[in-house]
Amino acid sequence: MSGRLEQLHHVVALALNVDDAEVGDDASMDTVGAWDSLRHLYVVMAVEEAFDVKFDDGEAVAVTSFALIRGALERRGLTFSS
Amino acid sequence: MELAEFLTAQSDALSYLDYVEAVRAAAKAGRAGAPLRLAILRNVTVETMLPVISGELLRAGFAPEIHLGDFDAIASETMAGDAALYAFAPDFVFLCQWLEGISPQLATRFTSLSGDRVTAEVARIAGVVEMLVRAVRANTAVPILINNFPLPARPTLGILDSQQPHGQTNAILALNAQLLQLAADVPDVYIVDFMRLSAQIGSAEFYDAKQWHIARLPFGRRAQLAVGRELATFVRALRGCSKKCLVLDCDNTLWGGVIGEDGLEGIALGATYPGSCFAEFQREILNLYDRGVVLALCSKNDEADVLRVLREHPDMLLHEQHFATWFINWDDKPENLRRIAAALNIGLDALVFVDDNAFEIDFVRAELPQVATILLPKDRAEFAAALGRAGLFDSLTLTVEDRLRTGSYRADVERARLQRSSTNVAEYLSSLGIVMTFGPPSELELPRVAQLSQKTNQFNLTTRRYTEAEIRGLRAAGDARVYVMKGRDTVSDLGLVGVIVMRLSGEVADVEACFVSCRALGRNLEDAFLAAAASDVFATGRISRVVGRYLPTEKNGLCKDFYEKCGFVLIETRDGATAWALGADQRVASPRWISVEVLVPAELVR
Repeated sequence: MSGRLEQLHHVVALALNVDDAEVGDDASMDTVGAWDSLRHLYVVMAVEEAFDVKFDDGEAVAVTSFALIRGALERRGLTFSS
Repeated sequence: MELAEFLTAQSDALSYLDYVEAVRAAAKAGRAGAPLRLAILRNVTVETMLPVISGELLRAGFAPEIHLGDFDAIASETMAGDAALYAFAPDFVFLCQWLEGISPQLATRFTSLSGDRVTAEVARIAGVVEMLVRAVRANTAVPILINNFPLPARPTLGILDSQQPHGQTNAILALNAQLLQLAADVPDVYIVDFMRLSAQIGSAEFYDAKQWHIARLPFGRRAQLAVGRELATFVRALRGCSKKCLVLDCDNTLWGGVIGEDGLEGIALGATYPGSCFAEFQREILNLYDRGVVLALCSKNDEADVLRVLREHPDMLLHEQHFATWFINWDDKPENLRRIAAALNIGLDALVFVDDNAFEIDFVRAELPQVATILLPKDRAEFAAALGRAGLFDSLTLTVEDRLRTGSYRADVERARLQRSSTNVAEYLSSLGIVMTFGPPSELELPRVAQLSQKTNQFNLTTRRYTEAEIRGLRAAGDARVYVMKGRDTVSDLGLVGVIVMRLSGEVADVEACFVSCRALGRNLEDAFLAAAASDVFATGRISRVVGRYLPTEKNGLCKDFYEKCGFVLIETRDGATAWALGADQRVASPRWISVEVLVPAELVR
């Protein structure tokens, strides 16, 4: 469902305090200027809340791109069709 | 979520993302509000909590600005030499400390401490906090918030811990008790109760081990929401934004069922389920009443039906005398809420409206966004908790006046009835036997003076807020005067209801503040008060002129012409603000129906 994919874009953009358009499928800590280690804390909190999941410590540190976050959610059975 | 919806929603309905989104939207919209400057010094990461704090302050009507100290730099930042904190000119300072940052032994290596060293370590930590607090207090008089420490979820010694006087849990309780003593010793220091918040949401949720290890962020998401809301509750209480009046629906709120259909015998209320849910809710309401919250009813019903429940139902805990007023009719609720505010002479923003019906709540939110609302949950056993959780009536003092309050609002409604039947206002006022007691405040009255300065919005000429420490300082200063007025009449005792602060400079007495509780208005007590204060400074023989100012706000329009009415002459007008003067050869006319008693507290008689 595309609704959930849009939601993920929106949640990550809110957490990074940037416009939704800045968070494409290829967005990552390397491509989005605002995405530093401090903002990453907001991202983890926001995604955990919005999708009702809890990352383990390794994942929380590792999910530094949109694709990796999506992958971590998919491993929990959430589906994102594009 | 739209910003407007965010601002009127119940706080417990808001998610972390709602705060993030709203704060961003508010920044874009450039939302106006009373400026509020909060400095946070911390020994841990708190950045992610800032949207919650800002969002809650926006919801309380402020335009927040936050100064965040550097990570774990509290000691150097509080010292006088460090300019950044004090140059920021904060309105509030929050010292946010996590125990592991200041005492790893107490927090995580407890078994390494012997009994004596536990006591010594507790004293050392309390001493560190005291030093920081006193350093801040030496540089600014604004309120200081400090947190206490949550109890350990898994004490090092397990079940043995609770058997030992020197156990970890008891050590932290002792530390928290010492912080409480510190807050009592230093003026305007308040405890943000992390121990209670952690217990409320559960220590497993309050502390987030993962984020602690990754980023030295100890607070779980729900803890961040809870702490942010708690800070806003402190700000509301200290800035006079706490609510004054609880307006209650009746059917399915005060009792189960509909009185018009189910009848006196059919409604649920009493010792057994489900009536016990409503009895518990009524007890919670009575607790608020005892704290000085004014109660009112707003119900779509026939008035006679509801009054019959209040008078005759054996398990009803709330009776007619608890309610300052009621509007029980078939008109819409926003209209009745306007009538309640008008009848009690308070602003709509002082009301909290409680209803079980989402339609009514939404109607009020849309029509009267300044009224706080609580939609009761589906689960009736949670009614009492929903009321308490909102924290809308929280204050930091409980004075004699609070306990008198509903009685005095009721007396106002009684007086209004008398007034309607009296042909001549002066004759009516004379019949009340009004007495004003005038003089400087006693030591015991200082908390009330500060509280009144923080809460009074309408009859407040300059809207200057004072802390207790500031008032104490002014009272002792040779170049300042603090006067208070107490009022009583044959119907009721109003308590301390007015304050005037003057600064003396050369031959001029400058009225820095003049405010009178709304419930004292309508008797011209304020005229008699200003007359007495002016006479007192003129009596020194050194003062030739009293100068007063009116600084307009959204709420104080009703005292715009006060100085003019009292015979002062306009000397300056700027941006709606006016300045007025009275010469020593002139006197403010004191109404003849008010007798004046001068009372100087024994401790000030030299």
